[in-house]
Amino acid sequence: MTERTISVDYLARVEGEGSLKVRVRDHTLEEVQLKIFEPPRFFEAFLRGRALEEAPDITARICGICPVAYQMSSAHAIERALGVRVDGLLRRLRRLLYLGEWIESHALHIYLLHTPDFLGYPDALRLARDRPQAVQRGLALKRVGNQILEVLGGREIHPVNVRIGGFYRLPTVEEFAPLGPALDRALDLALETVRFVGGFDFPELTEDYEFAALSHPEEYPMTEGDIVTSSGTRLPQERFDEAFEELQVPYTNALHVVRRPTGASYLVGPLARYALNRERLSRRARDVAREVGLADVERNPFRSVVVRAVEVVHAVEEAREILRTYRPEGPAAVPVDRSRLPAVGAAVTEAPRGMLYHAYKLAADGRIEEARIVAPTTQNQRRIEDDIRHVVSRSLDRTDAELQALCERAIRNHDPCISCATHFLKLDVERA
Amino acid sequence: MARASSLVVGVGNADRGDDGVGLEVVRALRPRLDREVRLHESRGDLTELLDVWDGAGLTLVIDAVVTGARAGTVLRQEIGPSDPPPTIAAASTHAFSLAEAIGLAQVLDRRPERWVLYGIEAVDVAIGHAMSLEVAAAVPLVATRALVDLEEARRGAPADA
Repeated sequence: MTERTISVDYLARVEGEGSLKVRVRDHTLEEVQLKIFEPPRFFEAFLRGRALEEAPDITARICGICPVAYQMSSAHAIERALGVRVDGLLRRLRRLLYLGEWIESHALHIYLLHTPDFLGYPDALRLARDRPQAVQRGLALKRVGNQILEVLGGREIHPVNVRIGGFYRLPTVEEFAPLGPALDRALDLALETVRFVGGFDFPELTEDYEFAALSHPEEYPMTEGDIVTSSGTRLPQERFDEAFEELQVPYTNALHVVRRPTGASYLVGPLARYALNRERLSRRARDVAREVGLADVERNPFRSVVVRAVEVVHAVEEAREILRTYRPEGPAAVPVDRSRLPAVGAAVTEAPRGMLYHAYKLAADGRIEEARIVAPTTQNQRRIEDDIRHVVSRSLDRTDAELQALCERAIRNHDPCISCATHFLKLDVERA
Repeated sequence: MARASSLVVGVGNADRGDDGVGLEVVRALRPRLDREVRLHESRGDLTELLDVWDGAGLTLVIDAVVTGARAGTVLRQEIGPSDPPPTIAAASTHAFSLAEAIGLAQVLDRRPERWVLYGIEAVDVAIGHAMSLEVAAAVPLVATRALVDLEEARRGAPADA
């Protein structure tokens, strides 16, 4: 009998850290465990007893890469509880803020974390030495996303301008002015990006994913819409728990989330959003997707990098359109009526990495009694293990080093933000 | 020609115990510096630093590190425009590390005149934990040493000479 164990103690180029253990016995894959070490749920506990108005700022601190997603899910959940409706200009500006985050998060992942895998570089630094123009393009694109966050969010990382009911203040036309030409240039960069990543060599792999994402009849999903899945489920956001179940798994501090009632894994994020909402992308985004050969439903996880790039094209175009007609008219926030308290509310928004669910139970005095947060990486964790299982099973003749590299690529396909789910990743492949 | 302004960057996450020490040093320096020195707090996305320090003069970067040394130990390393990637920053607590950000800045020529890195050995970076006493004790020490670096840069000596 032979046994192999492959361990990755530190997985590079993912946000946060954790570890992966793969055990192979007699040429059969026995076990894949994605481990996450950090005690979960700190922020849920931290929110208890805090005023409902504090939730957007507190939850924004969970992640340095996607703070807007946390602000948006928390604000929307609490607004649903209070019966507050944010429409018109304020709704468009919230989308603009979120678009900025999508641009900067996707650009970071595409160029600095994911592209090195396809071009045979160990990291972005070695890539930059040989292909400085590509990395400069990625940084320039990312910078435009950061600029939107600076102007509208108040600062790039952990923006502070979002409040329950809207914003604390609306930027002036002059403050937004530099973004017009920046977004014009960003559209060229975004289209170049799709063509750049569309030309990569992709390993052949077709996964039978069950996709889950928001879906809205009139727009590419971000802050509103029903939860839909590729198996036909459609639910309002607040009924998230009817379709998905959190499970405690012994080897990781993060919870796994599975489909009810089957217990199967599912996938959230760009592949899912695209598969379920492709027709709501801008025409130019759809056209360039077709130009680089992206299928209408893409089931090869390695091609997720192309889907991210297509989403950036859409995000830049929508941001330009919002700014084109921007006039700071009316109040920065709608009145917040607290007469419904005590109340409960839940909401899902589309973080760059997929659906982010927040649910709150609010006391009569406006304090948070309970908070629940389900991050996209937590939802994808079991599905990432399934991807690794399939990739490793087809490649057992490879060396441990090659297997390790494949596993890391399979994980990076889904841009896991382990700092959201928790922190730190390490790989352990055991062959017996 | 006017001298490029000096910059102090604190890197970290204030919700992660000792990881917030870089931010604390910047906050300790804020009331003690005039407007000629820029201060910047970086909370996780280190690629932003390529824009922040591009064209700056002396750039001090303060971050928590994990090297196995005693908690609160202060490591200092000077990095010139073409020096190899810094050893201290390789132990940075961030996914896209400070060493990578500095390496990228060197390759893409989006760098300051020179860097001085301060790494403070962290012992506890768990979410929600308070900063350890050993690491908190290093904050005034690093702030004082940073003031010396900045004053020397202002006078053009000795490292600028």
